[in-house]
Amino acid sequence: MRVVLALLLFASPAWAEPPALKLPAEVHGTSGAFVTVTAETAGKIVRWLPMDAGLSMIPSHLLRDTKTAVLMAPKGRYRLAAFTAAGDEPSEPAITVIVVDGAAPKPPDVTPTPVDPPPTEPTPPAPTGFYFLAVRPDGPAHPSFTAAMSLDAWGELRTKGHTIKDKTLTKARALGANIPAGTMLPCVIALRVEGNKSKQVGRPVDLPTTDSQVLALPEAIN
Amino acid sequence: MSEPIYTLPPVFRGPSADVLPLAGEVNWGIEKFAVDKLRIITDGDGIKLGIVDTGIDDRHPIIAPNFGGAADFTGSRNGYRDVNGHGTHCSATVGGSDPRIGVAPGATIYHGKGLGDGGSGGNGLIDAIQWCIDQGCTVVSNSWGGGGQSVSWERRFQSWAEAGIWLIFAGGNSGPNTPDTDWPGRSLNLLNVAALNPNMTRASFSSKGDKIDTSGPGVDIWSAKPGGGFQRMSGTSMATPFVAGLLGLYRRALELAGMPIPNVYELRKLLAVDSTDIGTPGDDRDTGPGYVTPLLLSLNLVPDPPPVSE
Repeated sequence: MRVVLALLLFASPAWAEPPALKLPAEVHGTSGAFVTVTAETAGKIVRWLPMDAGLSMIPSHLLRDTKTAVLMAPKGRYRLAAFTAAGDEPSEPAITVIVVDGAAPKPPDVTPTPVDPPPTEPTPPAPTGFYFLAVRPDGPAHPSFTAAMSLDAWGELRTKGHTIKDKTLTKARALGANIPAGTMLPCVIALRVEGNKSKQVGRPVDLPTTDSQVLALPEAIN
Repeated sequence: MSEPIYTLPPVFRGPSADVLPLAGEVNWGIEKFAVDKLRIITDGDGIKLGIVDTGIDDRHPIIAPNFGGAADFTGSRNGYRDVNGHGTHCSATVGGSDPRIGVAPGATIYHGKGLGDGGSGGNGLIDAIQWCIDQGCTVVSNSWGGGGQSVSWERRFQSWAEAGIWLIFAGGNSGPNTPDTDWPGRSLNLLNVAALNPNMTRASFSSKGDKIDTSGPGVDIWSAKPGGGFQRMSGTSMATPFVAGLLGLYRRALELAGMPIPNVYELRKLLAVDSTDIGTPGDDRDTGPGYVTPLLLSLNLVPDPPPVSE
């Protein structure tokens, strides 16, 4: 046993080389459904970076297995990069193309530039979904508001990359939200977070009271 | 100056049993208040919660796994052991390991025995709170009061509040016809709790007052009984450890999210909008702003969006 152990120890390199990472060249999916991409690698943790707008990804820290990315996107072609690391050394990034609804291939307008991952634990990608703000009158919440916000479908929206939070009217307006006079409360406004600013998208809509209404929010806002 | 005497509010003791009834009947607040909305983030693992009461049965099967320590400040010949029953009941509601009873079933609980075996106490109560804080407790449940206001105690409460400690107190069981809730509960340096029925209205015994910070389940609550088994009790004493356990979960969730921990004054403002209104609309003398709502607290764990630019 001692001999075997010694051999194993000597067989291990004293430094860590980043393991290779391989992705399929193309992955096909349909809009409105999840697309999964699995990386082949001996690395323990894989980081994913969408390279084109429109590709929504469930944050990898919410998934048990970071070697699989779960994505959703409207019709189109999207590039997705992935890399792993050993110690301080990142692997070479690999890139795959996500084809949704059989979108026709288009020649890349620019040569894909290699991603420049940080040397150690990279931060998860920024959320690509809406930031839904449920706005209610000032003061404690009405029981109907609490009931509506308790619907399971909000959790499903979160898994699709959206963010959900509530604010009283005064606090929502303090954030700069445009809630015109006469708007019925409670309502939902949608924000797109861009860097250190948010952009309000569409008009306020009534707070959903059913799961199906919650799931339809991204379309209702647009 | 004579030492102020504080007592247990009159507690309504129900039947006891060796085994628990159905899950939904044990502590109905667990399901009705949707404690799972915070428990999906944390069960309290990593936080220390304090209880100041009549002592604790640290060998009870649902207390032993989470027991961090206890100390007696009453000079009882029983030491920190509970022969009254009130302290063991309240302690298991805060952090008993059975999730049907313990609101924070992963927390570590510390018990400062500041109420004697008969259920009353003096300066030992303050020493017991200090001891819990010295053990690392950041939330301390106090199901006692009614002894009149003390300036020196108020100063202690203020210093703890400013240090970020959350003291949770029972409002008292004097019913609707009293001018205000008990002191210390109505002190601005801590949180005051009213009790609710399972139909989410003010319990008939729960004191009315101008400063009620939130409400919790306080009628027909099953929890641990000294020597093993379980007992049903009613009172703001039962609503208080529920709220303390829940706020312990919230505090731990804030820590895990890397978010700032509000002091008790900020927490009061937060509860004023993140409770669910019941009864008379708005902040009222029955239930304050309403019932403490794990769902609304959990939404605070999401950082604010950046300012809207257009």
